[in-house]
Amino acid sequence: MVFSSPTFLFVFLPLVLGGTWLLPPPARRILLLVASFGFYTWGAQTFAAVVAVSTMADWLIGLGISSAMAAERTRRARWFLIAGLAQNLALLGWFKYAGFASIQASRLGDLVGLDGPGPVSVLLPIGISFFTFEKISYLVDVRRGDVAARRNPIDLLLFVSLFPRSIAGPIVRLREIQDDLTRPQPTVDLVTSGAIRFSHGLAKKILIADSIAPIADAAFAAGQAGTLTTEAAWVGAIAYALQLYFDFSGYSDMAIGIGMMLGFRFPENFNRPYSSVSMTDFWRRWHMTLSRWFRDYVFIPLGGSRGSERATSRNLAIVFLLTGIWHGADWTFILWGAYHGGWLLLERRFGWRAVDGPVRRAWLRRAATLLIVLIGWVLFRAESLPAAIDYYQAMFTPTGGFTPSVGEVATPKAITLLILASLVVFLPRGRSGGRFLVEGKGRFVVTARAAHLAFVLPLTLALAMASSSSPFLYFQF
Amino acid sequence: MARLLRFVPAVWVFLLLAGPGALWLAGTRQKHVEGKGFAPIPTLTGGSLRDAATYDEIDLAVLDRLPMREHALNLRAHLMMDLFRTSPVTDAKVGDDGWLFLSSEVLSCDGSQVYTDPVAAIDVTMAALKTSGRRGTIALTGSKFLAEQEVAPRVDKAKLECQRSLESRLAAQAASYPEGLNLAPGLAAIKAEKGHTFLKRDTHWTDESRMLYIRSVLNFARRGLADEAGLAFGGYIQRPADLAKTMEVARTDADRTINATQATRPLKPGSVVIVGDSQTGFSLLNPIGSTPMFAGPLVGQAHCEVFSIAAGLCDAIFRASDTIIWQTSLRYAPEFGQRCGRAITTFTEKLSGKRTSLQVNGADVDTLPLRDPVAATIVAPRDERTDVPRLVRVPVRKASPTAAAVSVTATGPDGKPLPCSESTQTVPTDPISVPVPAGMSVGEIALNVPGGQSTEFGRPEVIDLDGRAPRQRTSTR
Repeated sequence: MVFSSPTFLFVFLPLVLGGTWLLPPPARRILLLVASFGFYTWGAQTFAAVVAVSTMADWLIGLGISSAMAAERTRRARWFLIAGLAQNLALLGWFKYAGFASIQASRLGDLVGLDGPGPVSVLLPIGISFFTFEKISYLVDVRRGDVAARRNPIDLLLFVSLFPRSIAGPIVRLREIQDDLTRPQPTVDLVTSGAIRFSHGLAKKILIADSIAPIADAAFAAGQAGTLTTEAAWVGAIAYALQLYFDFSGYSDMAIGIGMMLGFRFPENFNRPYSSVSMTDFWRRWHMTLSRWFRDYVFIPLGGSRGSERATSRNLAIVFLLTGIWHGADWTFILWGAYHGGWLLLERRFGWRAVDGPVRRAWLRRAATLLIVLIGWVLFRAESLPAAIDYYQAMFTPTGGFTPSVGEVATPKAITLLILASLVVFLPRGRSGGRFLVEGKGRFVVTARAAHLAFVLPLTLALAMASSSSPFLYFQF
Repeated sequence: MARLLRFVPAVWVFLLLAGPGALWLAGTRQKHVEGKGFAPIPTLTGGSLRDAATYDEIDLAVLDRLPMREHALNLRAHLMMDLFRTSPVTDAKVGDDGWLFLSSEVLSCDGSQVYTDPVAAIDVTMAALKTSGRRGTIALTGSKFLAEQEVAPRVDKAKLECQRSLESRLAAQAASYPEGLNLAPGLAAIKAEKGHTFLKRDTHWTDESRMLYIRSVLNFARRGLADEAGLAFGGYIQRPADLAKTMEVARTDADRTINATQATRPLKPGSVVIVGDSQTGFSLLNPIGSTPMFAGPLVGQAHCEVFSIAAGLCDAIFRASDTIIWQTSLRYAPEFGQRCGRAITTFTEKLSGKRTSLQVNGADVDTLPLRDPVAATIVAPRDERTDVPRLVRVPVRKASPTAAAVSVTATGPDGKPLPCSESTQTVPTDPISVPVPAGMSVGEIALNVPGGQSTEFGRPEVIDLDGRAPRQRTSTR
């Protein structure tokens, strides 16, 4: 089910909200568990059962780790942890990477003249990358003693399946929401803040991301057809950068908002990433919960930046290759991760990280960072490596004119929203719009909040009702 | 009061989300919108619940039935059109000053829409009509994009050029028949004098253009019939605009009715058949606000909807006729070559020609028993390329008792289907008719006959469609 779909907005969400507000806390948890598995079944069908079984295995393993640690049998606890990691990574590996790996093996076999079983086709269940990381974080946190192993399996089932963020984040750690999990308390203030945050996210998705999407789609299609001109290629790349941000951050705003309305406080996932003054800064503002996860569960365990410069660089390179692979089983994602990792290494090497205080010529650094990110998104969006190369050729080999198919979808509405979106995200400001609306103080904020709820939300809901919904981009990961 | 105000955002958001469902529960039902019925509600079984398509079907069924969806569509259309001058649907485009255009009118011109050359198809059709002893003419409704170019939206120049080229070739072909109905000069004069030949928000002609068409049709049916009928403009009406309706907004165009003010000497019943699409419908058959011409000067004459020909629904009226007026819009021109097949079979059923023989793999055969697929060629005596089209008629000697109709694909030297070749019999005992365009020899045709049908074809005959008086033959039926 998609957050912007009429079924979710006008049937599922009001029923779950109404039920949660009316029921006592223990019954709320059951309602949320049933609703969450229903929500996931809608998008992944029978795979929901695999998630449930795998979560129950995590529950048992978590108890095993906990009891081993209580008995000070660290070796045994480590084996439990390894078993837990193995079952989670095996599921992720099979469903997300088996197809890609089998294709590479098949190609290699062709090269050396060996017959193999051929490519494997496995359907990718939505959200698997997100909840696998959350399940792993639970097991590691139990092993580290950062969180107590759950005695009640409902706690863990609800943590993994909780529908507002189960399929596209934010990536939450159990310790962050353990009190809310045990006793969800949708207070008036929390519900009100959540309602504003949710409506802001919905507007980002429906009013902006979906309006800009046709330009990006047309440009990348033209890139593959070989009809893309330089100007259209840049317009398409900018459109995609904005679409991706408004789509994914809109989803995160909605997830955080729905969570608040249900009595949960999820961590922030974006903080005006296109205002970053370096790539290091960018990764502290873009998909923050993913960066944090890699920092805490990969980078630091590898030694972080405590060792030599060379060891730090190696650790960074590993993290960014994994970040690329996490996004998708394709060479485009691997190269995209390597591209970002490469820039971070360069920034470390030359002292360009600019994250420890005020920077000079911030606007120039902002523009340079944005350009680097924009070029990287082409790899991220392209269907294949050859398609990305074709697109880069169009961007960097000047050709005259403007691709007609891109011109046709660049309607006044799309262009207006493209410019508006550019102004919103590229201009520097301290806080994202969603947080500004919820946390800001003063008459201006109150007026903006009222205008948002009175005009923007009804308009957004009407548009959601008038169109068949489009999926969120990050569902595919 | 301040305490109460804290509830307002949450209550407001909940009301907006739960509103449509509450209305539905209260008995409000959405009427059919977008000119279609409701999406069916899928049957829920254990099997269907494991299928992702079921959930998409539920989403569509919910969307269609949501109360207020009609208002949401209307709001979106007004916003898009009034604020952004953009069409909310892909079926229509918005030009300057509120002018609307049908998107599908712009032919792709990449070969995907053109089955056979429509100019060759018109040539074959007119030759068949004339040789059968009938009078015939083609009336072309041009493209609104080309006719109203100064207010038309921007479209791919290459496509527009292709459109222009096709329109001018078709117009030249239509004008090449003596006594033929050539609307182009009249429409050009209206454009020069009145500014437009099409209605602003509709796919159809203005009153002036319609008057030209009606006059031309009546005068082709019988010289001087238009004056005899005393054609005159009636009062002004506000005509519901079909392109605006496509966008879910109610808009009208100022229009005038056209009336026959005098009684006329009746035409011989059934002698004139007018083939056409909705332009003919709105001009002659079902005009808005006035008496149809078919109830006046064309009383007793027949109308054939162009989409009904292939199914054989116009066979009887074609047989009874001696005059055919065939109106086609440019956007349907690519399909002309498919529709004319059945018409030509009917027009030429009383004509006879020279017997020829069939060859399969270079060997003469008397019949083609259809056990296996074959590609047969036709060997005609003194076969050479001629200036006039010809018709190859392949008799069915023994029809399959099981198959409803025989399918044969006739292709030219370029491997493309021939214009007006009837690939599937409409009446199972009928012969298969394969027109040979001017400039092509009979031997260049390949008859691709699928196997597995217990049907036998006899020796074909070749009929010259040279426009000379028909030689009567014994009935082929």
